[in-house]
Amino acid sequence: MDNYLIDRETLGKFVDELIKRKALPVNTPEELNSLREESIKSLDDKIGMAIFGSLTAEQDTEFNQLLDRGDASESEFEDFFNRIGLDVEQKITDTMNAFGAEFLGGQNA
Amino acid sequence: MPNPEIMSFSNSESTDPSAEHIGEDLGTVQARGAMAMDVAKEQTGGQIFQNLSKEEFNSFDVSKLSNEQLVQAYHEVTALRAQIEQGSSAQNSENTQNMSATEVAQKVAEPEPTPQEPEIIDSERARSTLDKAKKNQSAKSWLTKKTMAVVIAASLLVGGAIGYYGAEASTSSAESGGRTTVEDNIDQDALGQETIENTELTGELSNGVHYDYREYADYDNKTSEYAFGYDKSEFFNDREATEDAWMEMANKSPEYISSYIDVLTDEEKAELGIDNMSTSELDDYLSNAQNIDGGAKQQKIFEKLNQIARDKENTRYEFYYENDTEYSYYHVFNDENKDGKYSPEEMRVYYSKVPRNGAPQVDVYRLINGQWTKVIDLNIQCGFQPNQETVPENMQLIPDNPDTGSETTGSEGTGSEGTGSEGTGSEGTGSEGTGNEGTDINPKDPDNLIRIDQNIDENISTDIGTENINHNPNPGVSEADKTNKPSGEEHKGTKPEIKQNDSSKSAEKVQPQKTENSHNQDKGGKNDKEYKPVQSKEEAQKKADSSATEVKNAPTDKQSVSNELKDLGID
Repeated sequence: MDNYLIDRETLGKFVDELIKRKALPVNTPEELNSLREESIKSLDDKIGMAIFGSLTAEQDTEFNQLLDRGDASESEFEDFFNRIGLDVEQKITDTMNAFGAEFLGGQNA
Repeated sequence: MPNPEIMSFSNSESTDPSAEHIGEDLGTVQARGAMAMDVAKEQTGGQIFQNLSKEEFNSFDVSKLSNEQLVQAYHEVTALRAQIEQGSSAQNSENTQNMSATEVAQKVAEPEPTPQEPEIIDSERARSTLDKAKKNQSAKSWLTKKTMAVVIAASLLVGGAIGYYGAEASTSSAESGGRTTVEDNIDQDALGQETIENTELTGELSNGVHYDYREYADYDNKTSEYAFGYDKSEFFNDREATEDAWMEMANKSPEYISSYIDVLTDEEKAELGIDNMSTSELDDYLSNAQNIDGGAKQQKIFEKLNQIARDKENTRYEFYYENDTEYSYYHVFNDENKDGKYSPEEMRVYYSKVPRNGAPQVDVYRLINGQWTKVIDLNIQCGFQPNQETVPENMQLIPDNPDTGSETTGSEGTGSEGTGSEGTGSEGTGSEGTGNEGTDINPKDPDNLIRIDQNIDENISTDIGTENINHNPNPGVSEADKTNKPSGEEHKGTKPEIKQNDSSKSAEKVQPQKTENSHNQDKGGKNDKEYKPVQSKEEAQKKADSSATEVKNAPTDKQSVSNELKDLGID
């Protein structure tokens, strides 16, 4: 199992779009690939922190119990976030937008 | 001075209605001037400040209030300050418009929970949950699906924010022709009218850098550094199966062939119509041949490679097992008329200034069929590996010194005469004997290759101050050997006296014969299993059988042993 929360190729599609739109300080395909991997990793981390950082201590405990069970289904995760009123898709969207704006606006992104 | 009774009103500092505390709050309000005064009186519905003039308000002395007034004043000022600092007007607030100052103060002091904005837990706890979620497949899968749905929309949002999507995307989509685009796979209604261009795996950045992610995704890719990892163990020692596997590989990835084109002569390249193409151009052509000319030239190139690969008369496969890990082979042309034997003059050693993996390399070249061909490169990190890399005629290496010619690298002096290199020695073979005169090796890139053997001579010459360097090209010949050969004026025209069965001299120890390409390079060290001779079990058994000698029954008694010894001339 890889060390990503979200499928890296899914995030890669988004990162690729950003890369295509910005003159990057890279000179070789290897450097470009390295930048791409770092960006994917960073985006994955930011999304995870945005979602789980929005949980209250109580919600966090409950979510951890779901994870600890090991057999929680996708629908249970869906139900959990619906019940606590956290719009996960919105969190992801906001994070991606912020990431994209930072990437495209950064001097050396 | 603070009233002790008031001090006990609350243990909470934030609700401490002491005169001093209220004075501070009032001072804040007062500092905001007349406007604040109006707001205070009008909007808090306060009982303490309601009838104060602006002057009285600004000079209000909290210490004059009674305890009850002090409490009331506290709430009024707290509410007032909270509202001013928030920049909000209670006049516009339905919730506070009709509330008493106390209620307003309580409301401000105890904000209502906001479910939409949960308390942000500390990042350490979030990190812990994130790490745990990364190990939960269901959570990952669910979040990935959420993200997949968002990626497209997020792309649109980001694109829209900087204005790059829209017309340009539509144009790109229209130009995409038969290319699969994301829009083919998504619900257009759900996404609106925007179209999305597929993420290209290959292309060119705005700064000119060419990128191709497939190089990293596909280990079988033509230029992948992992291409070296093709498993060659399955057909080890099986030439025909190896030929088939090689051709199958070339069929699946025709661009793969481009790596082998250097083995063709210029004439052969011209026949194929690829004489003016660089390796990368050929690679590009082979990758897209079907779209360029229907693959006609590609087919000719493939047939040529097929012919070479299966040419049993003129080529051979050398199989080897390297570092106890890698089964491999290389395909080489048999050398014409040499039977694998070379004189020292047909070998050159170069130091390459182009490092590999950061380590310098030494290249060994041999003259094969009139062409200098790299047969080995030594790399400090990799050890050494045999390579077959022909130097094309138009690729020139470091030249012989025009002043010294082949003499510098040759063996004029004691070496060649004594070792029987006459005829094939330096003067004949180095350049003239192989017909290389006039077309001898010229500089390819002097900055990249330094001829070591020549340089060694030059260095020695400089060190000892002489131009005549006598080095021994055959270190196996001793000085004792040299004394028996004719030398000097008195021996001119004579031959060395040769006596057969000369009992006056002790027999020379017979050295095991070393043959070319014997692969018998076992030095007993870490590499003792490398380059084992390739031979079948049947061959080995046959050789063992032929060398077997008959053994008599061993004598057991003393007399028999004595008799046996006598027979052997041992008394």
